[in-house]
This record gives sequence, C-alpha cells and structure tokens, in this order.
Amino acid sequence: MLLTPDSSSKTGSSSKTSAWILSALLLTLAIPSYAQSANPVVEQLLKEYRSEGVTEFSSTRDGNLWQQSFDYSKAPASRSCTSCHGKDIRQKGLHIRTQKEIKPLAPSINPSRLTDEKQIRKWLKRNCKWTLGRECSPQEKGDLLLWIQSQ
Amino acid sequence: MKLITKIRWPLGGALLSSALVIGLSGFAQQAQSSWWGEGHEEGYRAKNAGNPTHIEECGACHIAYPAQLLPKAAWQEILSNLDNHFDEDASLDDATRDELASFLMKHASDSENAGKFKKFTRGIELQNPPIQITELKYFERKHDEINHQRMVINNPDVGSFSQCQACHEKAEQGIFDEDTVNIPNFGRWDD
Ligand code: HEC
Ligand code: HEC
Ligand code: HEC
Repeated sequence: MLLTPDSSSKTGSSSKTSAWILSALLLTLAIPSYAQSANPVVEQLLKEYRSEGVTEFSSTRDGNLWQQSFDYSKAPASRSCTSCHGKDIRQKGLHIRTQKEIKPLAPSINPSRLTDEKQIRKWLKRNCKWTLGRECSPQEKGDLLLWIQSQ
Repeated sequence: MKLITKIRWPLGGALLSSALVIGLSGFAQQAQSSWWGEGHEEGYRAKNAGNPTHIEECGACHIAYPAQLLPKAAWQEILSNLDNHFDEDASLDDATRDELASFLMKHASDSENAGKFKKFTRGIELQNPPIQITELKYFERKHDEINHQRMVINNPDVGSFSQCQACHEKAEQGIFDEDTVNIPNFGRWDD
C-alpha cells in the first residue's frame, strides 16, 4: 500500500514524491535481476516440456549434446550443432552448406536471441532434424535452450 | 575606408547569394544526372528486395534471392516443396507460405515488375523452368567468362555460384550491376 502512489494522496505531496522515488528505485532494481534469471519465453517452453514429462533440465549435459556428432546418410555425413553455429556461440557461425554468415546465438552477445517463441520452435525442429536425423526430445530441447541461454 | 563600409553589406550579400546559386545548381545537376541515370538504364536493381517476411523466412540460410530472378512457375514449384528444399527442411505454416507466394508472383521475372531482370526469362520454358537461378540460360551466359574451378569451386570464399553475395557486394539489397562485382581473392571485375 505504502508504495502505490495513489494511496499517498491523502498524506501530502512530500510523501507522494518519496513513494514515487521508492517505486522507481525498486523498479530499476527489479529489471536487471529479472533479465538475468529468467527469460520468459524460455521459461514458457520449459514449462511445456515439463508437462510432457521432463523432471529436471541440465545445461551442462547439454553442452555435450551441442558438440556431439551424428552420422548421416547424406553429405555432410558427420553433423552437429557446431556445423553451422560453431563451438563458441559467442562468435558468428557459417552455414555449412551455403556459407552464409549466421549471427552469434549467445544472448549475452546478441540479445534478440531466444526472444521469439515461433522462431525458436521452428529452428529447433529444423535443426534437430538436420543434425540428429529426428526431432529432439523435450528433455534435449530444454537442455539445449538452457545451455544456449547460459552463453 | 568610407566606401568600403558603405558597400560592405551589398557586396557581402551579392557574394553570398552567388555562392548559394552555384551551390544549388550543382546540387540540382547532381540530382538530375542520377535521375537520368535511372531512367535511361535502370540496371539490375530488384525493387522490393526488402520484403520483411521474405527476408526472414527465405533469407536465413542464404540471401533472400530477389523475386525478379525466377519466373512464377519456379517459385510455385519451390513453395510447394519446402519440406524437402534442396535437402533442407524449409517448411512454413500455410499463412506465411501464401503471403510469400503472392509477393514472389507479383515480382517474378515474368511479371510486369521484373524491370531489367526480364532478361532472366530468356531461353527457358516458362511453364517448366529450372528452379535454380544458377541453371538459367541467361545466368550461365552472364557468368561464362568466370573460371568455375579456380574462381568459384576452389575459392574458399565462394564455393558455389549460388552464393551471389560472395561476388556481388550489394546482392542483399537486390543490386547486381557489374560495377558492384568483386570476386574474393581475384578482385574487381573490369572488362
Ligand atoms: C545446417 C546449419 C545449422 C545447423 C547444423 C544448426 N543450425 Fe541452428 N540455425 C541455423 C540457421 C540458418 C538459423 C536461423 C538464422 C539465424 O537465426 O541467424 C538457426 C537458428 C537457430 C535458433 C534460433 C535462435 C533464435 O532465437 O533466434 C536456435 C535455437 C538454433 N538454431 C539451435 C540449434 C541447435 C540446438 C542445433 C543442433 C541441434 C542447431 N541449431 C544446428 C542453422 C543451423
Ligand atoms: C533451412 C535452410 C533454407 C531455407 C529456410 C531456405 N532455403 Fe533456399 N536453399 C537452401 C539450400 C541449402 C539451397 C541449395 C543451394 C546452396 O547450396 O547454396 C537452397 C537453394 C535455393 C534456391 C536455388 C538457388 C540457386 O542455386 O540458384 C532458391 C531459388 C531458393 N533456395 C529459394 C528459397 C526460398 C524462396 C525460401 C523461402 C521460402 C528458401 N529458399 C528458404 C536452404 C534454405
Ligand atoms: C564467382 C563470383 C560470382 C557469383 C558467385 C555470382 N556472380 Fe553474377 N557476376 C559475376 C561477374 C564477374 C559478373 C560480370 C560478368 C561480365 O560482365 O562479364 C556478373 C554479372 C552478373 C549480372 C549482370 C550484371 C550486369 O551489370 O551486366 C547479374 C544480373 C548477376 N551476375 C547475377 C548473379 C546472381 C543472381 C548470382 C547468384 C545466384 C550471381 N550473379 C553470382 C560474378 C559472380
């Protein structure tokens, strides 16, 4: 109550101002910690994967999946997420078939990453099929997203 | 001394306005010449190369090839096989695909919006065209002086003719004029 500017209207202008200052302060404190801990789009997807039976996600397990190579029947015969994005996703990647540059995936470098649910779904589906020869499981998708987010 | 004080203002005014006139006419001349330049010889410049959906959906794996490069039937063929697009999964939801279809049809090489790119329809069957730009007769003719092995396949910065942007510096803006060509490791194209 004390913090809502409206409620202070009876108590005069000075406490009104301090209520404003206080709420502004709290707001600025809240923003960075929010950005750091949870990305709402990723949170939403993780929630969905949990509802599909995943109990625990791990971003370290996933650093492995990121680099793991899979055999494929067509060229390139050895495939991994690194084929196009590279090992270090803070750097830019290069599409292995078309040589087109791909902007860094790491949200710490490229804040627009992992912010559009439709894009994430679309590319996880395509890229898992390309790399593993099948769609990724909810466990794998969650692990991958957490790993990417941590970079 | 007295005379100078007297004519100081008119003189300054005259000098200033003549400077202005010279400056303005230079500007006008420049504007006119670029206007003429475009009118006479419009060049290989695809209008509407900047459609946002096209860039987002068709410009992620390679440059968003301008609609003007292929005829309608080729775009139709490409859009109906997106789930197996040159061995890639480029599938889209129906709404997005329909939006792209109308954009690509409207600006195709056999549309009225093709401009100079109309030449890309030369020597092909419009009802049954190749679906690769790099297989069009006109494309082959325009690139027949290029050493395919040395300048393309074995050139680490090119790899294939499909990478237009490797040599055409403004390909992503839809500009393919000869004077914007720079073959990596071989240099500017002068002929
Ligand atoms: C054949 C090349 C290729 C491979 C291999 C590949 N990707 Fe991608 N990926 C792309 C392209 C192209 C894009 C879209 C272009 C862009 O967003 O810059 C993309 C985009 C993404 C995005 C969207 C990110 C966002 O929010 O913008 C995610 C997530 C992603 N890839 C994850 C993966 C994972 C996980 C793997 C391994 C299973 C993988 N990719 C393997 C080419 C590839
Ligand atoms: C998932 C990646 C991916 C997406 C998305 C994609 N393409 Fe492609 N496309 C390719 C690959 C790979 C090739 C083969 C050419 C190469 O190796 O560079 C290709 C080739 C082409 C070619 C032939 C180029 C030539 O060689 O003359 C056209 C035209 C084309 N794509 C149009 C489209 C259109 C239109 C869209 C959007 C609806 C699209 N592409 C989306 C991967 C993609
Ligand atoms: C290996 C480098 C290279 C690649 C890759 C390449 N081009 Fe070219 N292109 C050239 C050169 C060099 C010329 C000039 C040829 C001449 O005038 O003899 C040219 C000329 C052209 C012209 C005619 C320009 C004019 O002013 O006459 C067009 C249009 C064109 N290219 C389109 C394309 C398209 C579309 C692609 C991709 C599908 C492409 N090019 C890929 C090197 C390349």
